[in-house]
Amino acid sequence: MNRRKRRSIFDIMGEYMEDFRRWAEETIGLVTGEQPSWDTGTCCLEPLCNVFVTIDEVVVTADLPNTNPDSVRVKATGEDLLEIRAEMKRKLRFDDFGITHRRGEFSSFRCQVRIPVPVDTEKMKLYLKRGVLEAHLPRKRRQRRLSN
Amino acid sequence: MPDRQNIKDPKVFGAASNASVLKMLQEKGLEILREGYMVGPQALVMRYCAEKNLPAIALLAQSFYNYPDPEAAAAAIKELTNITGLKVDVSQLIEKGEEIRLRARDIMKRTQNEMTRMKKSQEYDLPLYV
Repeated sequence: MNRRKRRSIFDIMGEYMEDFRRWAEETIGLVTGEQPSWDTGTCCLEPLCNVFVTIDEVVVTADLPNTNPDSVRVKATGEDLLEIRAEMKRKLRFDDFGITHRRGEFSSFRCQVRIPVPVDTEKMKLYLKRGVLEAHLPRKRRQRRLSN
Repeated sequence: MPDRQNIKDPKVFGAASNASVLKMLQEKGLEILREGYMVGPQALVMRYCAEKNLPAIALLAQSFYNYPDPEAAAAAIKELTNITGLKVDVSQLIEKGEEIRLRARDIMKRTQNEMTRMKKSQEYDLPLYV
């Protein structure tokens, strides 16, 4: 006969404390605008990203070390949003960063980047070299005439 | 630099606070920074050293300016070993480059936010030379 193992009161309290900590961090993040660059729920790390706007195009770059190049995915999730995803070659845990008071592991990178000007996402070109992703998006041209 | 991805071996440029130190760098085979300008703490140190005629050098490696770049750091250290004769092993710095980039991610993010707050982007404006 299988007997279900009872969880101890300390396990239950630990889970409540973990839920409360997560809620508190999310709330503080929403108020201050500062959010952690990791998410243990989705096992994702947020990569460093930059957006450069030139006359002809918008260049989005992301630092993706320790990633498998074939796993890099970039897609437009809205008119002005670009989502970057990539799987890591090796899973990372908080311990790998020397952090012992948190638990969780990370297996991928994920971020959303806001594009400040209208772009043509259909003509996006991607380059990945030295672990740095470059997405080139041509700008949409809007011709305007001077009125008399 | 914008096309750092395409550079396998980052070049290192030298700058010095006076002519004799600059000559020494040239004799060691280092390429001298002839164009551009320096900013930040190292520029300030160099300026004070030039004013007081203290010998000082700056080694500037081609690097990502917005991402951690252990390869560029290794290139600068290699040049330093060439100049001073000190032996420094940079193999681990290169081998563990990806790990260092991951570890430096959050501090770099904080730096980027601070740079935005300080309007650091002015650094990239075209200067007015007279």
